[in-house]
Amino acid sequence: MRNMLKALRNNLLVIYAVYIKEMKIWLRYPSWIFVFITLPYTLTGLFYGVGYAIAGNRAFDNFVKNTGARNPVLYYLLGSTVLLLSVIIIEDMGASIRSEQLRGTFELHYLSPANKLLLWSSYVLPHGTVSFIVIAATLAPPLIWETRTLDIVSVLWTIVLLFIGMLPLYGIGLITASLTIRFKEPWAIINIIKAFISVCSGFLYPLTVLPHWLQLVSKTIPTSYLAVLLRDILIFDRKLLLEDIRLTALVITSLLYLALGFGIYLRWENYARKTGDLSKY
Amino acid sequence: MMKKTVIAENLTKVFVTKERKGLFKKGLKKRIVAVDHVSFEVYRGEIFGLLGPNGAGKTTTIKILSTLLLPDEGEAWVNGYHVVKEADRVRATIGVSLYSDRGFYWKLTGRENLRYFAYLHHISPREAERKIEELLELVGLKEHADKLVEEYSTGMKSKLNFARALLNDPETLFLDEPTIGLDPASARTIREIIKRLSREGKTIFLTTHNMEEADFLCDRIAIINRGKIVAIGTPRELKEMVRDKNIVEIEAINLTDTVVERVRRLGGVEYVSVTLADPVSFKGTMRVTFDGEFDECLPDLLKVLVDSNVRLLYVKPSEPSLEDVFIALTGVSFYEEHVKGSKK
Repeated sequence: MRNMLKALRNNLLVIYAVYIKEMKIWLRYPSWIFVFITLPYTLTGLFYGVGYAIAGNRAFDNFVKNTGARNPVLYYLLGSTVLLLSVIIIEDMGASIRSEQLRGTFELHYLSPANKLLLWSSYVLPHGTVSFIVIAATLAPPLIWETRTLDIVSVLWTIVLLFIGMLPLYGIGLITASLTIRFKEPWAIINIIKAFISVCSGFLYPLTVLPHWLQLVSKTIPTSYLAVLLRDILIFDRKLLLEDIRLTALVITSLLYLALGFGIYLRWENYARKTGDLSKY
Repeated sequence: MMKKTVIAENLTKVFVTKERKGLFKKGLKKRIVAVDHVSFEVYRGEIFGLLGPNGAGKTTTIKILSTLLLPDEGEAWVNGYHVVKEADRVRATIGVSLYSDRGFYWKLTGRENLRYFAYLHHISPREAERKIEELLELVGLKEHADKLVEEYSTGMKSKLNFARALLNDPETLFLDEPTIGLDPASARTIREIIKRLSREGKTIFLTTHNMEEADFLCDRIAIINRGKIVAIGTPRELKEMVRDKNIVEIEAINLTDTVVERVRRLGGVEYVSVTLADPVSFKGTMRVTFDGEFDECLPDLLKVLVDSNVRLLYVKPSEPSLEDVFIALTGVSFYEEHVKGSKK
């Protein structure tokens, strides 16, 4: 029992260390806040303009018919924010491990007795916090405009969904990290993965607009459930229930992606300790 | 009997590198034996130095012992734990300093960097604060502890790196070239701390290519060349190996390659090495090892130098140094880029 408590305390200390370190570094480079908040508005304007150019005055009716939503600004803002966060996390995991390598800090983590799976997955917490801050800051203006208030349960569900939604992205991120360190230049693969996730997650349109076979493919991607669930809470004002099958699917696929990511990463780690790749930069 | 804290048995590490040949041609794969059946033992409280030129296998050895690299052959134990089978236990009981000025989060302060790594070593916040304060005092960084690391000088980063290696109060400390790139004052501070830690009972395993440093710091030294250990002993024992040689040290100007070549050809001269201080005027120090008596060889040597327009600054008989030991054992000079000497 005493050993278990000690192990728990040690692991919490590692999570705390990563959280504080990452948040401090982010807050000392605050320019990302500006980019994260303005880019979804820019993308929303872009989609709005393209829609109007194609369908003219019928654009709004078509949008309502296809999505069920009445506020395209809120719809595209939410979609482009989650899309942005997703691609950044996928890319960032590989890039941040690479920059740790270049900085010389990566190898030092392997000199500590901290559990490496816990260590790398702890990055979910600061990323989740930042994601929530970004979503809150981006969506606040249109929600205030609509004079809508979100109840505390919806806010809590949004936070929980964002954190669960981070897990598969981390799984994919760990795969990109392994590729980065193994091949040094894996950006072609990373960009293909990002494009695939963007198309199949339905961040900016309902998945029903996709061909049937692509809809089936999208069911294997956790972010497709994340997009739908977030829309339900934040746009359609629906209450999320624990027995919702989409929530179960999100949790299961998220854990599978995370496990796959760790599996590949651990294989690489062992390979890197054999070849010396752990410290190559 | 003294307790062994580091045991290496036949450690071997081979790296495979690929040569690049143009756009489409596949390069040849090359096997490099970085560490070749290396065995040694280090005792508690000892300062043990691994001395060798660049690429000799020093860092690879330290990385195997600190669990960062898996050996291809052989076994090793540190503080009683197997470096492959009990890697986490090894990590909990060692401190490692791999780079003198890398390995920090630049946007964090020195104190915040130490705190982060303390938590990764499972040191409680209260204990971490106490330890950090003590280490900042030890390395003389207390005043600068709350500055961002990006504002640190190379010497300050090196001291911070050293402090980090001591965070978990390790039984054994691995230091890879601890004073490389440091100004003399910072290097002296680090050396004094190493001596002090050894007196307090910590085992220090350091690598260096600085022979004076090895001579000054180490209780025992292993000389490593091309992955193989060629000798192990105290500095005195190692120097005894060349005690029967007569060595003369000459400081002079115009010590060109031609001059060195002429000296090497002299009868009775066994080795010649030159360390150039100024590559423009060819000012430097030449060490000549004779297998004969001084009075037989020295006049010929001086004649060659004077005839070659070498301006002599001083000539004196010299005690054997670790460099002489290295040359005698390997037949090659230590500082590849500065020394133009080899076995005759």
